[in-house]
Amino acid sequence: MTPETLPDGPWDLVAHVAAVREGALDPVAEIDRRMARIAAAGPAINAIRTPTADTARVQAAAGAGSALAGAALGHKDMFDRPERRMTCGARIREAHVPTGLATALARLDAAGGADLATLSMSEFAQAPTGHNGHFGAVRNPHDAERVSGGSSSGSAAAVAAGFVLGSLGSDTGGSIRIPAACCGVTGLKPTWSRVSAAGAMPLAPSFDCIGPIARSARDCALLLRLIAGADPRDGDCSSRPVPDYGTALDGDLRGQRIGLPEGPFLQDLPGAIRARFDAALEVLTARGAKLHRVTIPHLDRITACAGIASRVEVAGQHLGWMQNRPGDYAPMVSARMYPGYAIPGALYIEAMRQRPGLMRQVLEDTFGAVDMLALPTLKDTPPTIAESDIETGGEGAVARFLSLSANTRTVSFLGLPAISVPMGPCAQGMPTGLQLVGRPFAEARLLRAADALQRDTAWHRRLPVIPHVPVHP
Amino acid sequence: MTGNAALADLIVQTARTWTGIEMPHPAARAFAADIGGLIRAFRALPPAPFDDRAADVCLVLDAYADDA
Repeated sequence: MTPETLPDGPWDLVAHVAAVREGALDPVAEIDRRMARIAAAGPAINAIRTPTADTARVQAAAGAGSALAGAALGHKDMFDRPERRMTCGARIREAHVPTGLATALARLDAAGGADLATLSMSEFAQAPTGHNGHFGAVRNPHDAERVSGGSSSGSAAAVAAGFVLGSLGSDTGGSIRIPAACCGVTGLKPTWSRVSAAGAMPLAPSFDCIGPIARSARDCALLLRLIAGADPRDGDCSSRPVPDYGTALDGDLRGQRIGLPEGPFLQDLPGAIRARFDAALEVLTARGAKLHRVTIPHLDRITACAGIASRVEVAGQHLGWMQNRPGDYAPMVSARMYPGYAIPGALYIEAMRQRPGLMRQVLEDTFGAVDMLALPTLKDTPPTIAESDIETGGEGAVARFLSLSANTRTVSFLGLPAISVPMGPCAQGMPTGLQLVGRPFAEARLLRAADALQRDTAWHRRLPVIPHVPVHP
Repeated sequence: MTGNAALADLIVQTARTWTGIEMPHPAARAFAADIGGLIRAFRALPPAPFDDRAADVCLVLDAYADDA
């Protein structure tokens, strides 16, 4: 056994549940082991915002016989929990203590999850790199000089570093998929409306999705089944039945048609990412999938509409604070939101008016020919924290910052589900991810494909070597 | 000054006018250029070749749901 290829055991959620059920693992002792690991490695990674170990121990003891068996979880610092500080990564919310409980957290609590800590995030979920001007950037556990990805930066880093077994993040333009890819873990952005957003911080409400980040597709399947489904507190939340996603994970991809999209998604990829992408596709085809070239219609229109609509929604969400407390935002955040106030309302209305038609065209033309799309989550190696820092990174920093979400933004506008799965290291040994995109509510199909990849690869079990931190918790 | 640079300046100026907020950070202009590119792209598009005025995102998601 080497630190890079760990066996199952306390490192993934499903194995934790099995071990507790067999009586081989004490979930309360597991909380203490995670806390010891956090104490050793936490400062180096900066993924932990507010630890709540005492609460987690109580939850772990009570949850031993439940679906999550008292597993150590931690979530992006943007979900309401009564009497616990929720900062949203922002100075403006530094002292905010909610009174309610987010629906997603309530469902995980009821399923026996132990909420170990709030996890760091980009300020108001607005940096795909994981930078945070108030609390510091989250550092990538695989290379502390490089970005963790964001905005669910702490979620991906904490899972990768073995601090927690699963985490909730949010994804508005890639904020689950990007950090999952950067940190070498699995992240699922569900279909818009699949998971209740009640009690979660809004960013761009018609884009926002709550979803899981965990080590494996199997773990994500378990978490999604628990959090998805109708919620009277969220009028947009879908009432479609929630399948048992775990039963779909049979490794069989026969008959599955995977589309490789024409256009910018696969262009100008560095050789190392292209090689990992091709290798991942080989695994999927060996399990029965067939590859097809496909086009995405109206891509220019989708890109323009997505950018306009998301920037207006974000700017609108923050108008009050921007007018009254502009100096309390980090400049990288306020400077990014600022131009959004100049977009005419008529453009936003028109972009939104075209949205259903664009979705229909893509679903008819592209997804009429294939069952899912495959593309790299990231088009390049995760950059260093320094070179992508907008405030100090010099010329090119903004471009590097924006380029992280080049392959994820379109999907968000279309409301489609997408998963990022580790596909092995690219340059400098950094992780990178395969992104699979499906039709609405195709989470089971995506999880099946992701799980099939993980049956034949071990990239999702690659644990980073963090200096001065033992491999075993 | 290129068209994009002029548009970025105009966007920053417009944001200042509408909000009353001063934004001295130079990154605002870089992000404004990005938004300017989106607006230009949008403006250059031909009329949408479809009209789904009555459609709704939730209805489309449901109509094409993949429960396999």
